[in-house]
Amino acid sequence: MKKFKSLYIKNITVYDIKGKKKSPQNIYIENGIVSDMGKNTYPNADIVIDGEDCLLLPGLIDIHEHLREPGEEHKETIASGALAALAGGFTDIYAMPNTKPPIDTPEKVKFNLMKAKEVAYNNVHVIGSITKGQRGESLAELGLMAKYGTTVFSDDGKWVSNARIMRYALEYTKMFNGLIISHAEDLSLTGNGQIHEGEISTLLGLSGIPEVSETCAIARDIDLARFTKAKLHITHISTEQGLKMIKQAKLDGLKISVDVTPHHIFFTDENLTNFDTNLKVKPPIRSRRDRDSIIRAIKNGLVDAIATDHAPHSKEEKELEFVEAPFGIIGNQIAFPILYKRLVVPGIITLKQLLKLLTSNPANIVQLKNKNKGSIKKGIEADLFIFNPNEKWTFSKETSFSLSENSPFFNKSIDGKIKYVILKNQLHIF
Amino acid sequence: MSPWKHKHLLGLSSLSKKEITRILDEAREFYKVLERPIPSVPALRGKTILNLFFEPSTRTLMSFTLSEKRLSADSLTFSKTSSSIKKGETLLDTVKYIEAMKIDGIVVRHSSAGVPYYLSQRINAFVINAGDGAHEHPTQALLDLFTARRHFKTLKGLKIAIIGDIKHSRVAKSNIIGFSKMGASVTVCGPPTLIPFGIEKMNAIFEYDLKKAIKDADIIYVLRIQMERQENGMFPSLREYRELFGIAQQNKKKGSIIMHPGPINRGLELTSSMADAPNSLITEQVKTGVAVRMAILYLLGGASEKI
Repeated sequence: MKKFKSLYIKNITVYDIKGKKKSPQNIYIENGIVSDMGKNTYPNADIVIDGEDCLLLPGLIDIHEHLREPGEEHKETIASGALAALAGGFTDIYAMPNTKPPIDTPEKVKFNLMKAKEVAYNNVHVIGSITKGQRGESLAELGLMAKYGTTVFSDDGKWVSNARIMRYALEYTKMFNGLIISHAEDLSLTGNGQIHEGEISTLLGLSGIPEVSETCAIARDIDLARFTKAKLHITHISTEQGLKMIKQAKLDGLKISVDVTPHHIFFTDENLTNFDTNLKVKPPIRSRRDRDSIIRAIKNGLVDAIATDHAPHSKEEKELEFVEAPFGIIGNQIAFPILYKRLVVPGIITLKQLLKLLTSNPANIVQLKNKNKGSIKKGIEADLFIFNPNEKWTFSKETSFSLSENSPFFNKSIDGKIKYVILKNQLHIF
Repeated sequence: MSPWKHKHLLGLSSLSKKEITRILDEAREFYKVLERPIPSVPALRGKTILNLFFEPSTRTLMSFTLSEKRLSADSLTFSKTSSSIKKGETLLDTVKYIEAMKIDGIVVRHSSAGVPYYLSQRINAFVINAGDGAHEHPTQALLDLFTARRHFKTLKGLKIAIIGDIKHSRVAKSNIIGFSKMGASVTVCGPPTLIPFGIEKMNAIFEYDLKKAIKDADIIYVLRIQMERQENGMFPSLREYRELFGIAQQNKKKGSIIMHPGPINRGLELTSSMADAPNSLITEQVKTGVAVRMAILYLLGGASEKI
């Protein structure tokens, strides 16, 4: 990381949530502020970057990451996870609270925020638990957590199965306009399921996770949100049926939002035939039909955001028998390049649309304080990255910042590289 | 003055503004009686009043007992928690028991909403509701109205903020009805999980933010928080409740007062220094309670016709 007083990026193509700017542009950043954009040149700046062949894009936000600290620092730490995210263009990230112990008190929220300030360059936000110990029995101190650090809450993988407690949580968070994120999964329907329940699970002899484990949970949560008039965010939706429910809820005027993960965009259960534990995730990689419905929903704007669900697990754990291996894969460092290639290059969506899914939309969902997320304009704090869509690199032990390797893209070639991240007066070179 | 038309006092929802004013005016006379060297009158001599308390109570029971004695009535008390009533002894059995004893009036408290109404339909005695479940607590609200009117001279245009568990509070319910009927404006504030549906239909404004709720209030009315609400998961912790909804300092409104129906969880919903501050009328509420209950017993004990 380099601190600079003035930074000059010349001759670069600029995109933000409004689309492509008249290009090429010269950008001048001084004291952390974008102070000029256009034709002027600043050859005397502290640092000069030639932006030819590159894109200048707004810093991204990921509202679903697992940084594993405290308790599982062998998988990831706030420092390593945040750096991996930064290298992936994410300047704001939200850490899920299912650590050991879970983040369920204002003290723990505050401590993790302090820790993040010390060790991370990007903005690490903390999500609080909905219930004490994520046991689903009684509300955690949501009001005090809201007062001292976060208004976003989730028990993530431990869906609040007690409907009365979920109702209270939705009602209670209205007090400070907070947000409940639901990992919609009825664990009684998941049982010992390993992968999507369908022909493939039968063929492989692995017990299935039925789509109803997601849809029953979504149905209940939507109805509680309707009844309480509260906001609700459904994370990493994986089923066509679930998307239909979200569509109807939105048509009914409910305050519902939804995100999907890159891996549910990329894979189908047909990719699981070699028992790759790096495709063992929750919710499971579903059928082709579900995957295609997700892509359609991204295209037609039903999906509000893309979140990585970056979930590090150690090599030893992932190298166990399929049924013993934990659920989850990493992905914050490669999310942008692979999404760009999968969605933008073939013209499924525009770059502007992809940026919305990764900046302004999720920022609105979690009510990020920075209201300029996704915009590049004169006068705002620098929150940018420079992307070379044509540079190839390999996602590997040498290039990855995560402490874990559990990704189906590990040791694979990636098209498109994030070269620089500029956050206020910091320049990060990757 | 026209005769009192209601046989029972089951709740404030059935009283008109005029009738409430009548009770408060009568209570003013009894308040004077209480300041005499011999603070009693023979108004209910020869009448028998039964205090039927199915739920533990100290203050309300004492207040009623004293009111009955000050009116020279014969008073007796049946005090048992509903859970300890032996199986088989139903409410209907109790009714028959009361009828056999030739009681003139009963004062009833029960954890189940509707019990005073139930009794009023089945016995000849007049019935005063001394608190039924989360339904109503009319005598408390009337003494609160009396206390406020005595302090401010009028209730019209006053702003009252009721803080705490509105959902389960019969005191809150009766006070919302009473104060709004008398022309005061009512704001309620508490955790959203403890605010009942339809509160705006009761003419109350609902505010989550305590500071905003009490900012312009003439009366800060603090409710007792029941520990079992936390055990049920309706709010996270006592310290969170204290920090978000505990009354620890005065508002800026000149001449504002503090009220609480008691008993207080000192240091939880209300700090000791606020409870004992010069503008706290909490002790006064206890005193006016006797006068107001005397007025109610007097009016019902002499009621001329049943409606």
